[in-house]
Amino acid sequence: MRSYAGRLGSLLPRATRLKLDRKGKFGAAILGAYVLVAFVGLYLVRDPVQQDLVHRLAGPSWHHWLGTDSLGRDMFSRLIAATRTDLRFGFLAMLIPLAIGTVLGAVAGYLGGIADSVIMRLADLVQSFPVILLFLGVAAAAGTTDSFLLLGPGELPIMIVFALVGWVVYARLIRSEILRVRNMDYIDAARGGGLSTPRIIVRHILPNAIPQTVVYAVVDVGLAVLSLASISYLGLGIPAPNPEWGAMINDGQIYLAQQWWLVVAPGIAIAGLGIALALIGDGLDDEMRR
Amino acid sequence: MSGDTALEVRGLQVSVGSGHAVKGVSLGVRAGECLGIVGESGSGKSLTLRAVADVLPRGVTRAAGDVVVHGRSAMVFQEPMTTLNPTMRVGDFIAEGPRSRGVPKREARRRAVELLAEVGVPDPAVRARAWPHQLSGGLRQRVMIAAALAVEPSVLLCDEPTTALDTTVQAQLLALIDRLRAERGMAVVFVSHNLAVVSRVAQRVMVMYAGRVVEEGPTQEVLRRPRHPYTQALIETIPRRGVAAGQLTTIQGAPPDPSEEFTGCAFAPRCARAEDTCTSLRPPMLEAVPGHTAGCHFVAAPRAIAPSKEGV
Ligand SMILES: Nc1ncnc2c1ncn2[C@@H]1O[C@H](COP(=O)(O)OP(=O)(O)O)[C@@H](O)[C@H]1O
Ligand SMILES: [Mg+2]
Repeated sequence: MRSYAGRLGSLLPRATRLKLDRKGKFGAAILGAYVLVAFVGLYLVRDPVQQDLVHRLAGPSWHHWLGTDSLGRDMFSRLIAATRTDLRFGFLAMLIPLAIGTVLGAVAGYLGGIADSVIMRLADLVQSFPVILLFLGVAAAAGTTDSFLLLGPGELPIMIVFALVGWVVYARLIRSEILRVRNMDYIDAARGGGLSTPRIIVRHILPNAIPQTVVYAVVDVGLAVLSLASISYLGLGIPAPNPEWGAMINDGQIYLAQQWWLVVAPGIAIAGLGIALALIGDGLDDEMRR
Repeated sequence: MSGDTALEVRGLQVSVGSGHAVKGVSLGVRAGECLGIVGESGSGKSLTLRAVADVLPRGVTRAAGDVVVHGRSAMVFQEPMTTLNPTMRVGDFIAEGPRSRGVPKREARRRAVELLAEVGVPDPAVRARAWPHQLSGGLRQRVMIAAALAVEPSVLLCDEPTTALDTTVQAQLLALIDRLRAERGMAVVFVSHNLAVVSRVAQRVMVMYAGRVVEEGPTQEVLRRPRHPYTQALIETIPRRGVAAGQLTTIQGAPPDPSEEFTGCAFAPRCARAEDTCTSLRPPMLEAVPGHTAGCHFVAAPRAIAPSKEGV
């Protein structure tokens, strides 16, 4: 019986025999810290939505490491709680479009013909559509949606927009890699050996077409978090009072002159995650070019 | 030694969009027999084989003709870098054939190790767990042959399987293919641009030019008494003892584009003895002696240009 890691290893060959270079390992260490915080952080800090109007906008102290916000909520607790929101959202906002894009890209690339034309025209259409309009469209719904499966309150409509838009890049990446891999003799050998089309796609084409996409997917998590923060900053994202880095920056910006850390702390959190993911993506990329 | 017919191809035409790259090829191979196909690059050898294996590239179609394989065919390709799936251990790759036909995983794995042993891979159980990039070009081709054998083929199609390898390894692989043919009673079609290589494994050869067969016969007979001027020219390009490399003849001119259609003989523009009839009338395949045919108007009176011990 092959281990799960072995199976993953055969699906993401060069990428998961994770020979990350030094900067990649550094990025992985930072990401590891974020993930740890996302999983256990919430249990170590106090309630991130508990208001204390007497102690509004308090400065950093032993009690409130990063002070309190305009409603007297503990900023450090909110920052930690937001890590879970943003990370979970970022990964899902990568995985869901990745899944959709892989299937559509694989179908387009392997079958070609009409399926290819239809899927790629759809991709063009999606790409030419102003995304911000979609976010405006779902903003109202976001305020009233409950948690859904892995998604927190208000996240479902936003995720739907990410899924509708995000698959396009993955479909294009996978399709072009499949067009390359399809011409390899081992695909003909598999076809000649009488293997079924799904088996050829899943076991012979996709594992060779996916590695390039993995690099993009890693970086894409950071982009998704940045997008979520941006639309939350615009007030179109995660509804109050749920902690989210972009929304926190929005909340804090009017106090920038005095309580600058209300903006800088979530800003650093976002930047740190983005840098960590970029380092990993870059480290993988260099490794795969070898 | 030769048994029943294992492969029959009649009137095969392969269209590449702009024209036909294979213009009516017929051939037959018996179980336990190796047919060699030679010809310059671009003469349609690979497309003929791919049409038989039903793995034509996209945009290329079989326009006419019948292919009858008695049993199964399996193909061995030229380029050892692209013939093995880089994301699969070689044992798993070999096991794909049996597994897709419902053989349980363990059984298929065991079979893969046996096949590696059969094709002369040392330490087969260890090598089965290797990745393709860990193997030399020669070993990769042995693995590819094992993967082809895994589908229990009655016909093994080899497309220049030794061209990318150095001569020692090439000789070993030719010996391997010859042994497998004899032991398994398999029909083999062996394609190469190199007549010398083909003559080491094939009992019969077929010479192709511009998508057509121009000569066919028993290997030794064709080598000693070539009937088509193109075959004669090919033989003169074979390095021989006592002939310095610089003295070797090369065939003047270039082969025609596959989409080009000729009313006469496609080789006429490059042929030293071409006459008016050659450009106006396509020569039919004529029998020189029983079992040896050539598509040249002058088959009956071949010009003796190939030095031969027995004379012509
Ligand atoms: N995929 C393809 N698409 C279009 N033309 C092709 C393709 N493959 C081969 N051809 C053309 O068909 C002719 C015969 O090719 P091929 O059978 O590969 O020749 P050989 O194997 O004898 O070198 C060549 O002239 C080549 O240009
Ligand atoms: Mg070829």
